[in-house]
Amino acid sequence: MSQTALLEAAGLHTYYGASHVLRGVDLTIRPGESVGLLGRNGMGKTTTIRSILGLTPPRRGKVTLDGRPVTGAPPHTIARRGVALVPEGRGIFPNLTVRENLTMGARPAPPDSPAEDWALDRVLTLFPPLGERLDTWGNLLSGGQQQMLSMGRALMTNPRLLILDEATEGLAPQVRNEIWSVVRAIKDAGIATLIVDKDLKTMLRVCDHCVILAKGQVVYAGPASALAADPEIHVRFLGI
Amino acid sequence: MDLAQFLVQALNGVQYGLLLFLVASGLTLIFGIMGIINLAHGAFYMIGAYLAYWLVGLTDNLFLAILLGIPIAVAVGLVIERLLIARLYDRDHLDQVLLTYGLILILNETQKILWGSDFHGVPVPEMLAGSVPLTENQAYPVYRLFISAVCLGVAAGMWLVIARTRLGMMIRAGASNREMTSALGINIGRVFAIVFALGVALAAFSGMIGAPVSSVYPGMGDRVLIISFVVVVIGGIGSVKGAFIGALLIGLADTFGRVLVPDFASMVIYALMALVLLWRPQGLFGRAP
Repeated sequence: MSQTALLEAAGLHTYYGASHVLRGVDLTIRPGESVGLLGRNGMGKTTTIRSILGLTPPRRGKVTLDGRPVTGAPPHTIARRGVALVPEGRGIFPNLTVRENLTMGARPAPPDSPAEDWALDRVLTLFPPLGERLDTWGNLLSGGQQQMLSMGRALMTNPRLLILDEATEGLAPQVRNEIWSVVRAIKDAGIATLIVDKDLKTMLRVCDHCVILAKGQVVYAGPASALAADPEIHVRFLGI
Repeated sequence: MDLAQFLVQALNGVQYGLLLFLVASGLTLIFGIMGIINLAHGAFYMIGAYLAYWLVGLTDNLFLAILLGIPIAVAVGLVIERLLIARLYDRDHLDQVLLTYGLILILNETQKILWGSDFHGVPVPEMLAGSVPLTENQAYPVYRLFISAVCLGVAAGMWLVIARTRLGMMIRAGASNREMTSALGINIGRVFAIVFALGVALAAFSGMIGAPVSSVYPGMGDRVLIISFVVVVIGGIGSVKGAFIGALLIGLADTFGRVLVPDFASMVIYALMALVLLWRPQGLFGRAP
């Protein structure tokens, strides 16, 4: 398959001050593909996401979207190229209503895009509970509703790549299942996803491809099915 | 103090407070949203007053002077934001204080070069020069009522922009989570520039419309700056509503302080600030730390 990668990160080296967190991370995501980013805590998963989005720009290495370099670009430029983030902790604006949270970053899909526009109605169809609370302040929602709001807000920017960092963390099992079914629906809608989550079993079922990080380096990259069939890797790099 | 006198002082206090609100709201927005301690904010008030003096001299019309003066003040503000303030966003407060203090010195000196060290007055526009009788021998100047009404209008306009527009959403979002706002594709640098320009416009407008009642003199921005900081601290940093309530409280406390306890007049507002902070260290409408 010689399709151009949607996102390509090559040789990312990222620092927090003097601490060298990423040590040459490579990551490729093709259009519509679902990639799981795995690894124990502190191995560089969130830093990889921050590097891609320009929130913590890598000191070396490069990031390209559709083959065009975006390394060093400010986060809003990268976001406008079609990348949306559902951050760890959800990042809900407490002083904005649910409706405002959803619409503040909303951008229509580019006119040449074949995908159907994620307008408010479509997002509310995906997350019915939000429709009943549109005029509530963002911080008054339950954890699960905040997670839906964070995902809905990201979808309203009509991304081609949705990054989900610990989207099911701290949620009740039933709510988690709902979030996962939405992740599947998003994937079925043709949006590529980069997923970080602690639920390895579900990840292996949802993702096409998996990348494992250890100490800021990629120690495994391959199809999710291959990783599922190799429990020895789970023990070595994931401690499961 | 009889009722008429009380009413006059109350109206003066409200008018002074509303004028302060225009300065303090910009200060609190710039600090709350951009994280910038802008010591030069009072200088924009002074620039406004001098622009009013200069342009009224040229046009003989305060309203025309305001219309011409605000774009000039905003242009000065935007140049300062792009060239200097924008470099401070990722720096600590000491650097911000040093740079913006330096700006006060530069702007005050520029004022002296352009307009000299004399005190100047700006005449009250003729159509607003009258008085409204309160009792048989007490009257109240129309222009001061006009100031209060205009400031209330501006405050309502600000509320509309912040609460009801997309720009307002971005401003509030940027105040609560800068990173998330930019990760949603919003150019936070541009939002900051707009907020800064808005703050400058408000401070300059306050200086312009207040010029006929306060006179125009060197260093007039410094006192306003200090009192505006008191307002921001009382109201809670970043809260426009707090700045509104705080400015009215300070305006009334200062005005009545001068009349009731003239020997301690300069202390009244600081005593009020201390009381509020003892009760609510984060200010009246500030978010708890």
